[in-house]
Amino acid sequence: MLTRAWTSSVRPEWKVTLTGPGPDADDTAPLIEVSSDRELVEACLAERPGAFDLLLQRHRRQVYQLCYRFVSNHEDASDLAQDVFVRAYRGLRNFRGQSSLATWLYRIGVNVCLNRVGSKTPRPGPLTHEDRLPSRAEGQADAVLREERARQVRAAIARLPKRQRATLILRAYHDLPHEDIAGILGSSVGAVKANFFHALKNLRKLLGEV
Amino acid sequence: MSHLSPAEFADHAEGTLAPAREAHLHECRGCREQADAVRDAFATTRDVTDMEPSPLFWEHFSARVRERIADTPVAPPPWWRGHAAMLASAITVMLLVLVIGLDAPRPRVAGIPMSSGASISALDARPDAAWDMLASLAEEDTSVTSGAPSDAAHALGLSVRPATVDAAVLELSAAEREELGRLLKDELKRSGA
Repeated sequence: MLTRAWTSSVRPEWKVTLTGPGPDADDTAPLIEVSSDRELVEACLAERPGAFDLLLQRHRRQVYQLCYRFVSNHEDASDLAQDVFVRAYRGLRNFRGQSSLATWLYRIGVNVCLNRVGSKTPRPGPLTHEDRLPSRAEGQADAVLREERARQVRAAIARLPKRQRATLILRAYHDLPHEDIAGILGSSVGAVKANFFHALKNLRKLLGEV
Repeated sequence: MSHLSPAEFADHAEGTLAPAREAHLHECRGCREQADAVRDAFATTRDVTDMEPSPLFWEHFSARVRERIADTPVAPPPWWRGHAAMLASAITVMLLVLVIGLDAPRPRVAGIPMSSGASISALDARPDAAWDMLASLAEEDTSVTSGAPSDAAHALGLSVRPATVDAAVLELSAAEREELGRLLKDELKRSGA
């Protein structure tokens, strides 16, 4: 029996099938059920209806956030994340399953972001109120202070050298193991850790200037 | 004890530094200050909450990706993909021609004379339909084994030296011999031999 699959805000490796739309679902929520990345990729390659939509639903949030952390700008992050999925669609046959699908998408995402960052100066800006979900648990003043601090940190991250920025984002926000980051950046684990250290050291220095 | 390396400072920030190296932090004020600063920076970084765009954004996002994929022109397949079978056949024929034209050293096979006057009847003992076919072809055109290339061999573009065919054919597998026989027969038919 086909059920509506909603997995976008949970870990991609979990198999979750829910009946009815979730808060993150859209009108074209896929009606297929697959559990592993490999099955999902095979379903996409077999052009099963809804397969790529499911892949999109599962990973769009993480990919968007990766891009947002690179450019600190909602509009650019949205464009970059779209680029990532278009490239992933074109290159899906190249996915060998040696890493998780999420890591493979991160690799594409980092390449897309590094290319963009190389050709364009990031123009940091906060999310607009229309785009951001306010937290009900905190008061208005706290939320403003918290957002201001977050803006400063994002701006400081945007000023880090590219590889330090990529390392810090992947490690601090996406919890990728050093080994995976090394694979994505094509470097050694030792180099990743050193980059991580220098990123944090520079970040502290930049935040001290604020 | 040596000071902490950058990788060790990173480990300390994540709480995975080896206990032996943690001990150094109690003794070395410089490393301790550096380690604390890095750990604070890590905590500050992680304290930044996730941005969470609205569900409306996700609808728009997915739709845009689908549009862009639909707009993406499909790259044409490589030119050779539609001719793979033809190419494979051509390569097979070229290899066979090369094998036949090769001036290979004569293998020592008991009972099979390798002189220019090789008797094809020595091959008759082999229970192989391909051998039979080649033998009959050779009988039809004995000049191939006697060293005087026939018109048919010329038509095939073969340069045959004495006993070369014997040596080359002996090196072929059963499938190759069968294919060779078929090709020769086809060519002989086509040339009216």
